[in-house]
Amino acid sequence: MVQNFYTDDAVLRRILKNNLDPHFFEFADRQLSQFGERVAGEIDERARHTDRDGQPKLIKYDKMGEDISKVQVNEGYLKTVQETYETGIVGYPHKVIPELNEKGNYMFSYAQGYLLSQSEPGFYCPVTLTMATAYLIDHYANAELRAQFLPHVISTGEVELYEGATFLTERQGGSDVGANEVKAVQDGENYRLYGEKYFASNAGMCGVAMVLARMEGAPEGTKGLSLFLVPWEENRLNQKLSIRRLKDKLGVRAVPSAEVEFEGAMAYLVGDPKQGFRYMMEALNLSRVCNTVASIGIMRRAYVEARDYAKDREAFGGALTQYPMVQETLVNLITKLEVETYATFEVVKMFDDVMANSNALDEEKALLRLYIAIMKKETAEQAIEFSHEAIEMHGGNGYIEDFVPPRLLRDAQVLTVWEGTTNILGLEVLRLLEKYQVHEAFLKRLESAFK
Amino acid sequence: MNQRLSRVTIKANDLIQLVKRGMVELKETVTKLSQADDQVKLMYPKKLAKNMSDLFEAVVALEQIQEGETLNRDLAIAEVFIHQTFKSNDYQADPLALNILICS
Repeated sequence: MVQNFYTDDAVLRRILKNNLDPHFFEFADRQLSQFGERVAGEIDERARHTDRDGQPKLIKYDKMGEDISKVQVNEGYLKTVQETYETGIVGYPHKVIPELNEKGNYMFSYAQGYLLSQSEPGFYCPVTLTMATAYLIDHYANAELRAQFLPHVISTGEVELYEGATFLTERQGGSDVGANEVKAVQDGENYRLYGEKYFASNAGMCGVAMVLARMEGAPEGTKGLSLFLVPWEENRLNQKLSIRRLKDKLGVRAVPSAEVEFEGAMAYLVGDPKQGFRYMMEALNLSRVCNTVASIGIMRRAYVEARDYAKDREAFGGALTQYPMVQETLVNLITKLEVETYATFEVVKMFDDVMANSNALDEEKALLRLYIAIMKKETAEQAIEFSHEAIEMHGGNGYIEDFVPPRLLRDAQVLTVWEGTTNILGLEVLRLLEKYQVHEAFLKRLESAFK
Repeated sequence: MNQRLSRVTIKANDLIQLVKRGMVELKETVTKLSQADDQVKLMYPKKLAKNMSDLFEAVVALEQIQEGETLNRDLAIAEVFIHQTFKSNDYQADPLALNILICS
């Protein structure tokens, strides 16, 4: 059994060593060694409990019958929340790391996400949403909103943490965002939201939600969508929003996913009202990288579970690893895993570069979007394939929830769906080809490796 | 991605040829699709995305060899990956490669 997901992973260490400045690598190496032990130990134990027995619960009414729409999570999960955010997984790309006296980066954050996803991919969803929220507030909120909310969203323990959420999907369809109907009605300087969001992940746990809504008189389609910041608790206590129910999901059960009704919720406009959809799409690209990282995390765990089982398990007088077909399976898994891990962090490196460069060219941004789309699609499909192979390697045991692989499969299955289904990603690729001829830059970049 | 593959072995050169052929095919496919009707065009983006991720990953695998930190292992990884990806009907897996990967 692996005791530390970081120190057991030579590939991740090599990637970080090659991509981080030596002093940053020294810091990251130390931090990840600690985190790697925690995710392989207590966080993994808590994740199993949350999945099997400790799922979030909706407390819809209080004893007097008042709608309170509270979400209750287990104690262990709360401990995981606290310990994880205090590592700076969300905070450090936005603020100075005291020990280094310099701002962090996404390479370090995504390395943490990769380790976390090996034991608790469900909770990596709220982390992702909080990362997206921090990105949107940091880039597009006005100074007042940024001062009020950003320190909480990027908290590493010094102030109260506000987890984030991004609410897009409505009942009429997830991918067809342009059909959204939630309305924003002006009330003084701010707005009040009315309507329903249908897959609102981290509802009840978030401190702020970033919500797409349509102002009165705004055009139909995505062009008419504006972005709003909605403080959750204040609106809940004022009964301006409520949760209808939590979704009963196949996997990623740690994250409460809800149907949320806005009944005049106070909301603050973020940025240009005509750019709401574009802002959200930028944040979605960040989330798609998270999805890719979560996928290789699940792939890694599936491989490790399959490998360790094959080493320990004996059949026909020998360990499974001595049999050629088992060897072939393991070799195929490790090969794909290592290559996709290198490729994923290559994308992370590009993401960091583009994020750090406010003058990045449209061509560079389009190329990054292409890499994100193709890698999100590929790794998500592989996460399912790897989980399936891990189950098969365990034989009948692999079908039993006492073992890890069934949970991996249930959790992996969402990765091809949320943050854009594979069909939506296919359309993204086509759009990038037609609008930017991005294949030319893509091939040029590959060809440069052979010169 | 701007690493150069100057120190690769003969074996890696074979792999490079396979990847280069894939790149030519991708170029041809994109040209063909750009001239196709919308209905046809809209049928293949996922396949195209898969071709692209295969090529990207293959080049990344080759670049690890260039870094030369763990040459034998990286070569074995690239070899198995590229053979699996671009020559799916090839049954001649290299037992040495299997050994390197299984034992590590």
